[in-house]
Amino acid sequence: MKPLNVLILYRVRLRARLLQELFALIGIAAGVALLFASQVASSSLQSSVTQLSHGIAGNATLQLLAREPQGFPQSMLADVRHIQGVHLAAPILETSANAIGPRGSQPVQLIGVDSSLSELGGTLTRHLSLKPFAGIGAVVLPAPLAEKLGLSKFGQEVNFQLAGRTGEAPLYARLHESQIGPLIASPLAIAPLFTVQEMMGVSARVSRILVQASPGAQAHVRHALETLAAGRLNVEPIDYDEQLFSKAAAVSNQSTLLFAVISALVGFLFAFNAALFTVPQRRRLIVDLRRDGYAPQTVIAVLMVDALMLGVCATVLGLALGDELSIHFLHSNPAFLSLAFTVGSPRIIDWQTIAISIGGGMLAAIVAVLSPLLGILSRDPLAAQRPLHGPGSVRASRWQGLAGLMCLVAATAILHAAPDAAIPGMVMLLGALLLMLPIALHATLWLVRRLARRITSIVPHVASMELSAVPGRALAITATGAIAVFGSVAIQGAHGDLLAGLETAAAESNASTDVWVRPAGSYNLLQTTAFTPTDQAKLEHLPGVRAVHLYRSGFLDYGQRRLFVIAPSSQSAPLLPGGQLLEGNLQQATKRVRGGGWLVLSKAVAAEHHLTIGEAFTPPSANPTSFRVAALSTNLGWAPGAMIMNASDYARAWDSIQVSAYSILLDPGTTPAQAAGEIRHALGAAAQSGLSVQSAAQHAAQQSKLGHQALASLTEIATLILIAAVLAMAAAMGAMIWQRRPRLAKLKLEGLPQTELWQTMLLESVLLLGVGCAMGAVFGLYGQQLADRALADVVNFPVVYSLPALTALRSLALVIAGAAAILAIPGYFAASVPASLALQD
Amino acid sequence: MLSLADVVKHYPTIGGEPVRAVDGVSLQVEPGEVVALYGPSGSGKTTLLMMIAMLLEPTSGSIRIGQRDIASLSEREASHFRLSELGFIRQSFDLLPGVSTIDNAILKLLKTMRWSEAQREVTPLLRSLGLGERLQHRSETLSMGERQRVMIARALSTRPPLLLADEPTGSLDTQRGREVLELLQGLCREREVATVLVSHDPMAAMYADRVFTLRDGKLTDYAPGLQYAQPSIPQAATL
Repeated sequence: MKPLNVLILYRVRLRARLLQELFALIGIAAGVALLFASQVASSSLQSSVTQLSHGIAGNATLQLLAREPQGFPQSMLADVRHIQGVHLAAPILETSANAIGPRGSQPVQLIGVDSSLSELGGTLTRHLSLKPFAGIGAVVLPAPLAEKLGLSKFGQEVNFQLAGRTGEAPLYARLHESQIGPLIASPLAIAPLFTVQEMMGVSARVSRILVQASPGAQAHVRHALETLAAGRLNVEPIDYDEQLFSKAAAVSNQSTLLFAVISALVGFLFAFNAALFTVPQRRRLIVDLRRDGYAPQTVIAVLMVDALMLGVCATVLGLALGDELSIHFLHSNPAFLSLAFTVGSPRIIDWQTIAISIGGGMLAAIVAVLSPLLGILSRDPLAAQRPLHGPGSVRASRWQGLAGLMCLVAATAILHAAPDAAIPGMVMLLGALLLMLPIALHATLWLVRRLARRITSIVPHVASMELSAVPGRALAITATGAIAVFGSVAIQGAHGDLLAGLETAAAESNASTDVWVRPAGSYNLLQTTAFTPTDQAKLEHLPGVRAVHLYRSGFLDYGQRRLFVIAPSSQSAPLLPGGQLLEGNLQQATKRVRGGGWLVLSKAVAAEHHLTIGEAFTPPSANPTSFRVAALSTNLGWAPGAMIMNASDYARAWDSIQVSAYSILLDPGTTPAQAAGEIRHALGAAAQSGLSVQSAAQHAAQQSKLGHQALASLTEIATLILIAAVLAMAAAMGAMIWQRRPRLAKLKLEGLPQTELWQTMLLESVLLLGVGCAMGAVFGLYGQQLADRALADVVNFPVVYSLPALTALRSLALVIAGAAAILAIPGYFAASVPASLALQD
Repeated sequence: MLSLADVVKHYPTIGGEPVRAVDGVSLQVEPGEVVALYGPSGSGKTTLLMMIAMLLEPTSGSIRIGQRDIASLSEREASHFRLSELGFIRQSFDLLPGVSTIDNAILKLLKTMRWSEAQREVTPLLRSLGLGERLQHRSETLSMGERQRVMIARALSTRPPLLLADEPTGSLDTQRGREVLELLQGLCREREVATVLVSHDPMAAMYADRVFTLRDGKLTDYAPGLQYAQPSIPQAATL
């Protein structure tokens, strides 16, 4: 057949099945949209960190990194520049801060630079000259950030809260996308090095030196830098932050990826459902073409044109929908991660995301259109039109059941033996679910038939007969519901367990304190910003205050992980969060940590470095100090891991007297609210002191809120999947019911009343949805245990195990009720078909 | 049993004379009697059957089943009438695929009987139709003649007093058609079912007690010499 004729044939046939093709198109588009949007959400954060890192560092390949917030002496810059093979070296002093403008405050990364940064050629300085404002101590901000703060005019004051201090600088310029490219969405404030040093109260210190080595001198320069660092500074490649972030965001990315897969499956099953309506026509076309003497290759070519047209249109529509979805619903939310990494909230669409979405859409179209492939390839031209009943299909369903059972066994083995393989485990579970679904449906229909024999009503008989008559379509609809409920129950359940665990951890970390005093700003929620404790004596004398303990905390880059280090005062009680210990004796560990020289380490970190209880090791702190492991714990809610030591040990290991917070204990009868007022008064206005006062309960609530925010996108996707599934099933079943009107007319001709036909269709819907959703819910609960196990054992999250049967039932009831309610209307109208239609064929 | 008195069905046309699909038909069919109606396409045969089956309201005239004028029945009563008092056989076989012979045959009985009771009721009928060995076979494994016999079993399962057969041999070859008509005639006589048989097949006359011709909506006596073009046999419809 000539190519032009294939196109003409396509156009002619399209006219006859426009509605069905539209259904298929919407289905594939929905799948592509969900896949695209969830991919954008997961890849944007990593891309944001990458862009920022490259945007600042430009051609630098190595960096000398401080291990403490106050940095290291700026004089080392000269030493670095003197190393043979160093082409360029640029100093940076950076700190987290709260920028305050007329319209509000925003957490930012305040970066102090000098003109040498421009020479590295990063995006940040490519179109921005640092020289004009270097001498006036001003600050430049990306335009969207300046807009949020209400800063628009040259010279307008920007206030900063940082490290328990406050500072201010005039606005020099707002940076636009044409100047800094993708960094426009990053929360940055750029100021001259000396200005930031002044604001931080550190004289001639820097936190990083970016180094560009001459060609061929990389190894030599690295070695020389390591000698210079003398074990008190880090020498790392320039993409070190990306590596750390990648490890920190791995859990979140994996769960989003899993959701993306489930979303895509739901969408593509929607498409497959829709495509099934066109299968009879395609089967007839295949038979006609084969009978007319066309070779299977020609038939496949004709169908491939169908798939191509459907795939291209649906993918374009899906990408457009997905783009809107990612703008309005699935925002990438850095939440917790932004407390340790500079992450913006950009929407970054990389080519891999587009390629995966297009590939998925096209594959779905091809699979849907070529479903009668065996019929095409058969030597018998009429094979495509043969029904799929008979002993062969019974044998096939037995094999399917066996394969499903094997998948289930494999998932169980993964659950017990290799919890880190949660994603393959989930895929196995999904496979088991899909393979066992035909058996469940068959068993349900058998049961309905058995029950129907005990009652006098035509409804269950006709419903079970009808569903047995179209097993392929019934299965496709059931599978859509099953996967949606599986995804929703598994991820929502794990999400709930994780949140419960995070809340417990937050409560335990606040248990030894009544009121916290810490550097102000939302960037400092984990209380990792250090300040000089000049007010301790003043606070101790306030009425109602029983004791003021010094609390230290910060981040430690250890291997590929940015660990959260917590160091409460050794007088704190409880010193350790008992509920978070996974191995070791609480009393003994408390005694050891209180006594000094011992610490509690996350189990995953200990396993990575082959450490056991009692073993000694030296964390890479500013003043490397040897510690012994007192116990192993959860990660305390911080994905890369955590360690707990006493505050004095922290001061020794970091060689710093600075603290992160005052942990204030109150006299009995004094409420945190009363004490907070006194403390604020004693400290002076928060804006002046840069310190904020917060009750322990408020702090725990804020941490919990952040946990909810961090996992919000999962909730959004779970909801979207359920909505998509309800719509997909309602549309597929609605179309199926509508197409059945001639058959309904025949049943009416036999005297079956309209009401009972309507009830029959509703029963069919409830049976299909019920089987699919119930199976999905049961497998979903299993999937939840798999996810919980991975979160707890591999990432050491503080997970509270639960079996939320109610949540599962709610998802199940929602999908069934939603789809059945939507179906009731077309069902009613379809049942109103005149019986005379039966005589018109 | 069935009594048609001056039944008229006119279809209005835009700006023209109404189409007289059925024009003053009067007919009486007694229990156990088989009446055959011949007529070319468009002669009003199907319209007449639709009016008897209460699928279409006559423009005028009356249709009585026993003592009842069926025009007075509500939609619900009409459904009940079709379920329990009327059997309808068509050229195409409206069997549910993947469902056994016996389950297809008991469909109408399930409204008022339990499944096992319905099976007991219909089994002798299926045996008398020669399907005793095929009770548990799926409908798609049956031959065309067997499928039509399942339809006859379904139509007669409720022991209706009236049977309408619209081209019951239209999809069958001569031999199978003859067998089906023979079985139909025997069962209708045995069960005292008043039967209206609409056909193009001249062979049908052999199995009827009375034969009429319907031409331009009017009923006339059958003229055996008058042959009508045999319609092309369409592909058997499957559900």
